[in-house]
Amino acid sequence: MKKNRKLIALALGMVMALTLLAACAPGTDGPPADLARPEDAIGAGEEGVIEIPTTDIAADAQFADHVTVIVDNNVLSVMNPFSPAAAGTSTNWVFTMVHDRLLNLDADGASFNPGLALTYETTDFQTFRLTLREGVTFHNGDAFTAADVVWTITAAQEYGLGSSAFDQWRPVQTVTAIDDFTVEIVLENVDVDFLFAMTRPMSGILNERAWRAHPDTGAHIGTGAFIIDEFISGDLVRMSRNHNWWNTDHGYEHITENVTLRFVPEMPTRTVMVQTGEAQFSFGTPPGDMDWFMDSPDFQVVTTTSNDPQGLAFNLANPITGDYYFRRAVLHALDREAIGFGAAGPWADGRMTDGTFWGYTTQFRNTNIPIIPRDLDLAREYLERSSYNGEPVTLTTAIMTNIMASQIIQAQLLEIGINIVLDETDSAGLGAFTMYGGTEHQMVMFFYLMTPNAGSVRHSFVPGGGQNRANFNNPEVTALLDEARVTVDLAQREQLYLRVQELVAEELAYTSIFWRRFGNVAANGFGGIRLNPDPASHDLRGVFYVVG
Amino acid sequence: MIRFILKRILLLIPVIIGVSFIVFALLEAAPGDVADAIIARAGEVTAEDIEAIRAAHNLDRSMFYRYGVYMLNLIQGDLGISDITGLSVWNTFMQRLPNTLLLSFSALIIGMAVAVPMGIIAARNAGKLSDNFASIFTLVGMSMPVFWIGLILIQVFSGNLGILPVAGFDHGWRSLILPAICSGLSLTASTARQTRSSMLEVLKSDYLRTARAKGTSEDMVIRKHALSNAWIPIITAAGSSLCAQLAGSVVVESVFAWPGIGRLAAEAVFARDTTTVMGTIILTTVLYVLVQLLVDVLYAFIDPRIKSQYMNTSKKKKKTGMEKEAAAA
Amino acid sequence: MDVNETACEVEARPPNETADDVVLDVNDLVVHYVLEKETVEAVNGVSLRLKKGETLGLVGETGAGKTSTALSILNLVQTPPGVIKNGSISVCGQEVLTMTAKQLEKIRGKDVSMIFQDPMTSLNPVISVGEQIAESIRNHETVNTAEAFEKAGDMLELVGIPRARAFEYPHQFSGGMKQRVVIAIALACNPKVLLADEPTSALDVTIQAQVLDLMHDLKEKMGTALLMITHDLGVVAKVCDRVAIMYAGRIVEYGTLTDIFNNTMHPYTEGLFNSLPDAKGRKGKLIPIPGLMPDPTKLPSGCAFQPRCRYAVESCKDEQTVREVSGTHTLLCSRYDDPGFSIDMKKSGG
Repeated sequence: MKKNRKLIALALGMVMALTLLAACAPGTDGPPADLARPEDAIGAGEEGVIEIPTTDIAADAQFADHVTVIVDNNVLSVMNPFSPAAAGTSTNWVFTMVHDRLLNLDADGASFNPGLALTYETTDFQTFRLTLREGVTFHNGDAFTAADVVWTITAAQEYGLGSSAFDQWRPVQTVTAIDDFTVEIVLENVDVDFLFAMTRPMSGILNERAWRAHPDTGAHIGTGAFIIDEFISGDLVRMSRNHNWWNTDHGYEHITENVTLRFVPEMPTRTVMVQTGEAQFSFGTPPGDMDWFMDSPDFQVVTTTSNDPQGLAFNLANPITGDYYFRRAVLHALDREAIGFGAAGPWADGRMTDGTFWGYTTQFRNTNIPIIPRDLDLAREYLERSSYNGEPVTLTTAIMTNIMASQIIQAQLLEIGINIVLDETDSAGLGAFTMYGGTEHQMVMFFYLMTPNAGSVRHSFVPGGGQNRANFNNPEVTALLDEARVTVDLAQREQLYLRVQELVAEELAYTSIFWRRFGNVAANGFGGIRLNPDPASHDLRGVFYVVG
Repeated sequence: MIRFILKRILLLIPVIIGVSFIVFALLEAAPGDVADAIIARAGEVTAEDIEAIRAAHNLDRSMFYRYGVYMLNLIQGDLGISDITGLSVWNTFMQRLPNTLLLSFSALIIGMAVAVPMGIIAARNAGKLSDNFASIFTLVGMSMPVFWIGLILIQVFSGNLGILPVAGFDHGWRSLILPAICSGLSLTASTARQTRSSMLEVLKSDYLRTARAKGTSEDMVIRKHALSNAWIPIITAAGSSLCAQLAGSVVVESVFAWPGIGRLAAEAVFARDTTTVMGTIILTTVLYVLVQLLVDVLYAFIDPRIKSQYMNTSKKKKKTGMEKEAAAA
Repeated sequence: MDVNETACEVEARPPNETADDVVLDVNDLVVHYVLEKETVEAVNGVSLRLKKGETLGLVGETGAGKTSTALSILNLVQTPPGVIKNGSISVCGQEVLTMTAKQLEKIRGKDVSMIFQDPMTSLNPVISVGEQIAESIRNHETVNTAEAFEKAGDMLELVGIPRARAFEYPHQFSGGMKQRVVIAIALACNPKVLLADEPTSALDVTIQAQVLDLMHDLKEKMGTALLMITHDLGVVAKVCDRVAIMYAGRIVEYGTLTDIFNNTMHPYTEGLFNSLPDAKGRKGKLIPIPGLMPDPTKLPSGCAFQPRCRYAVESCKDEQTVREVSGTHTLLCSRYDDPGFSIDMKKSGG
């Protein structure tokens, strides 16, 4: 019997060892120090839109008629821009492929190109007159007219709060079809951000007839480059090319016949799928596998750095974190580079050069705001002046990278005697817990959605803003932001936003900790994807894959 | 028998009420509700907006009121429309159900096809080499995390050998193999273990000696006399494994990007999509109870003693599953 | 075979019989159970011979090796741990111990079958009794399922159970009824040898009598040779022609019913009678045999009964040889080397 046990133990050990060997994916065995070198990858250090490949395509190249793109932690839950779930970034990529917007944002993020609207006229940024494109048809064969624009805007407004589309169309007071191809939109107030709102992926024009016929799938019908063939909520969306797409001058060199976006929750699965050729592109490849991909001649690694600051918010409504000296002490104690590296290795960039809390490609970024430097003596001095007397302070956080960052923050703050308690939750929990005027939470480590449009920062700085986790309520800032929204003159508007940043920085309610880089992997020969610092705006309409 | 089945199906009602109430209460206790989830996705809201949206979802009323409204709709067969996705919960569930059924039953078939012969061989050779190999297999199968097994399967069969697709279900039956093996492995292991111990018990029985003494071949002794008595614990184990599979294995579904019920429920929880969570869990409960009922009905076909018990259920108090097992053993 | 040359063994075979009549011939059977740490010496050189139509009672306490002997005849000793170390068993002239599995299947139930001790556990609970009987018939006769079931019904009627109950399951039967079913299974193919292992010990006394009567009738009808294993001398007196007393894996006394009952020689046999409350025709008071059966893994040297025997002397620890008392009566006890030795039962004029 004893002998048998030994035999079992031995065999078990061997099984474990063998499986370990088998599971050692090529390239996962490097030491952590050189896990990956994002600076070698395509797009590293670049700002703005990145397009791959950078190499030329042979004249006689053969293209695959089916390309699969793997989507990471954003569930493809619904293909309806009216629904709250449509806020997911990957969902927005599909909207871009399937629906057309009235206007398109230029690659520079500041000028507007024709979309379904050929021209727009406005003098006061309150009344917009749009001339629509003729001869455009929806995927169901219906002709696109002004009535569709009117219906889409009206329906989104009826859908109400929480709807992604509603957020974009919210400023609209009336929308009128002047004739079949002219629309007049009147806003409640002057709003310089409205042009940008019309370019958002969730601002696509939908088809009323399809919507009424199939409530679940009617929103799949658009006028866009791709037609949704199959959609399994939470899993995949299969699309085929719309051969009747009006946009013959789209600027995409090649368009694949069939494109599938598949949500694959597990990172290692994504890696193997790209390795085996089941997918040609994958978002969110594990940093540990990057080395292998970079060394392999068959793959290209593309990084994007998210425009959203990963940062710390102090709840100003809380007695402890509402104390300026306490906040100052915390900021002096932080070593951002260490936090960034600890949280995501080289895949987080903690080298902050200024102290503004602003997306790095967001308009009017104020680069003259000094960063609060790490200085433990100063930190202790400020802590001394604060009312803090050693009680535990809660740091609420969610998502792996931020949880790891929070643990390092916790350790760093302990050095000056601040006792941090971590409260780990999921994104929804964090959102609910830190929203609208709550006084319970104290510090929050999370990311803050910011688009290239300066108007998007409002959500973090005005009372009631969806991301105002600091309970930031500075009447001067609110007034400046309100003014900026109605200031047509670009230079004047810039001054307002620069001032906003100064005021926000003075209060120390928010601080950027690091920028997050996303490592994406493509098979060689894959191209045509346009990756944007604003993750929602990635454009996959031109994807292709060279097979020979 | 039909009375018994009807009775069991009627029992579903209190089960559903209980399960739905517990789930409802748990969702209530979780930080964040539907309104929060919606508002978090909105850009900017005023206090009036928040109140309006809370009122629209009855969040200004008590939990019991909302539960009552939900159950009232449920009685009318309406599982509702998700507040988050705007999709009909029934349609969403039904879109996923075939995938889960396919995976669960494949796992069950693979599991039983391997587990029962393995358990029998192990029991007949108790203490010998083949038994030790079976023990190692069951130990490994039961103790290795499914996640780990899944990744190894992917790495070996897709990555290294390149003979099977990694994930999804684009490649027909070939796509099914790895996830089915992965989810079938723990089922196989536990069923093999159960088969072995059940067979060991039965192999000691006097009636096998009786069978041999009348000249029945060893093969028939095992297949007809021993196995027929060993089935009850085996199908009990397999039944509960199947139920677990049907409730959805989030891990297997995640690793193999398999769009099943488990992931649907998990993702709905993360999105605070109360309606979808409730609907999914209630429908899963129904499935669960039906499978258990199927197992109980199978008992009757396997064991006449249990059958006669079922016949008497109209007269006697309903026996619990445990008592039934005890009677069978 | 020369009786006197065989040590440690009682020749349990009556003279003057023709080989044709012998349906069961067990010769010097040794069965051990080899366990991890010890070896159980269950049967240590048993020889038996059974003629057509004859009934032999194999009597002894629990653990004397009776059941092992019977199972060996069917070659059903569970291996491991059981090992048939020595001996030969021939059933109707065929050597059982060297048979292949296929050959064994042929004789089991057909030439030799067995009635097991506990009717409660001897029947398969999930198979109808009719099918359990029919299976035996199908195993040995070329019949189809329906015919076999029909015959199974006949067998049930033979043992006094209505044939309509063939579709019922064992749990629907009482203990005595189950034993009848067990008997029906054993008799289904008219075996030449029937091994009955305490067929009545699990039954109520009233039912015991019924079952015994039934077996006796069936034996008469079918001419089956019966090896009746029992620890109940009352049963022996009722049905047996001859008796073998078994102790610690050996036959210590063998003889006709009269030899054993009226001319008891062995101290152990005497002990058995004395411990019997209602032995027929005996007036002695109830005296239990002191001590316990010896540990079968550590049998004492010489006579195994010697540690419990009140007549024991030093020479009892030597090897024992078979002693022929008469043409039908043999004995294994070295105390009779002393011509003046006699057991108390004899002295008191029993």
